[in-house]
Amino acid sequence: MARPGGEPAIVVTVARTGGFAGLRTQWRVTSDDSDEWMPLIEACPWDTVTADPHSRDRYIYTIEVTAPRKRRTAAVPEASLVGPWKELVEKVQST
Amino acid sequence: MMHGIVPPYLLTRIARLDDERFAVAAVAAQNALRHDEPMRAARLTFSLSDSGALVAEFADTPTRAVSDAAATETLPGRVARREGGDPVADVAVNEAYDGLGSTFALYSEVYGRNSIDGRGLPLDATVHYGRLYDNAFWNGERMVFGDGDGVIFASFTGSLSVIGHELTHGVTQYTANLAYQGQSGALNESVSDVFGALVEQHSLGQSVDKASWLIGDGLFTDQVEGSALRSMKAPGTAYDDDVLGKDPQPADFEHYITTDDDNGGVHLNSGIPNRAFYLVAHRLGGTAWESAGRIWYDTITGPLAPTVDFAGFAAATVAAAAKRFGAASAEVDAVRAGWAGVGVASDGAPRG
Ligand SMILES: [Zn+2]
Repeated sequence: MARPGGEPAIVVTVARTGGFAGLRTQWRVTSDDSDEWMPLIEACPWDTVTADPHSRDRYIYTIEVTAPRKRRTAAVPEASLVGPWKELVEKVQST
Repeated sequence: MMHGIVPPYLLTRIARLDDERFAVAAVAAQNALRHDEPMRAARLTFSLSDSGALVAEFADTPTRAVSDAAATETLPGRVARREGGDPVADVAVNEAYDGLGSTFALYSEVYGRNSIDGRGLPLDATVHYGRLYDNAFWNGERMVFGDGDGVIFASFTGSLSVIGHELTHGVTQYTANLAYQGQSGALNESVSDVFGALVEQHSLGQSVDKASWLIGDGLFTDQVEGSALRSMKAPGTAYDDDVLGKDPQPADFEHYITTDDDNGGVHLNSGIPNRAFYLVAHRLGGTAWESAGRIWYDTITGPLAPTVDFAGFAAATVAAAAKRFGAASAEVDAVRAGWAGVGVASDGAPRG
């Protein structure tokens, strides 16, 4: 439900950088359906992203969420893009 | 001339030969056996010298294994071709196998380096990683290649410079270990492009002036307006396409890109040291792996801080050239001119 005259409640941005080609690709979703998005967003381990110090030429996913009274960002190496992270990124990419 | 693979038991016997006619062969066999890999083999070449003496030469040989991830993201996948195995029906498997061989050959034959670690580390690769995967990477242990999406990118095994680039990330890991962030990260990327290009040139027997100096030649499909992903000779000119945009690489230090993306733009700012290398090679002429390549190889295997910046790396290349060719050599002049050509000072004290 859109708030009257307001911005969309939830904005999720995924930017993929790095890779052999060094190209930047970005996906963005806006939604007012917090039931659809917030459980998945809350399931991601925002404060404990696993680093990948050994890989070269892999992607880095910069994920940003803004929601009412909430702003979250994380830079997730491709090797750590598993579980809810992967689910969230694929959901944004396909929405 | 005769070529063959020498099994370890025969190496052991040759190493024990006490006959001065076979002294060179005995020492070479002892060297080959010095490491403790139990299944180590070597390439042996017999020939007759002018005086009729039998000359036996040993060369290191790779130990390759190419696996197939079958469109999954699970590594390593199933082994599709091992060292010495016949070509298989899968083109990507054979391209990876041959590309690893060409890369091993440059390091072994030109720089005397036995594989990634200098001690015969097996070369492991995985092809068909993921679905429509537009990338190739090194994960610290193996090279991994995607098939591309078929619209913008074709298979990543299709370009020898890409295979040489990935394997060189392994060499850098075992040598200079350049930190993958900012300027040292761009140098890490550049070193992979330099030796990736040299693998291709060495394999084709190309001189500096005949080489394309392109990285990822053949990666783009026909639908993309561009020849390759990067140009070492003219960074920023490799592609200019409606969908991809224009090649964003800077060609000199004045245009260094400051960004949070991609570990500080390591795949963009690599254009600056890439062009410095090209300028050195161009000035020296001949074949680049013998001239500028030797200086760069000496640099990454010499004293160098992992967090070195462009100026520190430039100074280290000058020191490496002076050590190998002499302080007043044409090589030192060429190295200084190359870095000056991209706006990087090379007259500082080499750090590291
Ligand atoms: Zn790389």
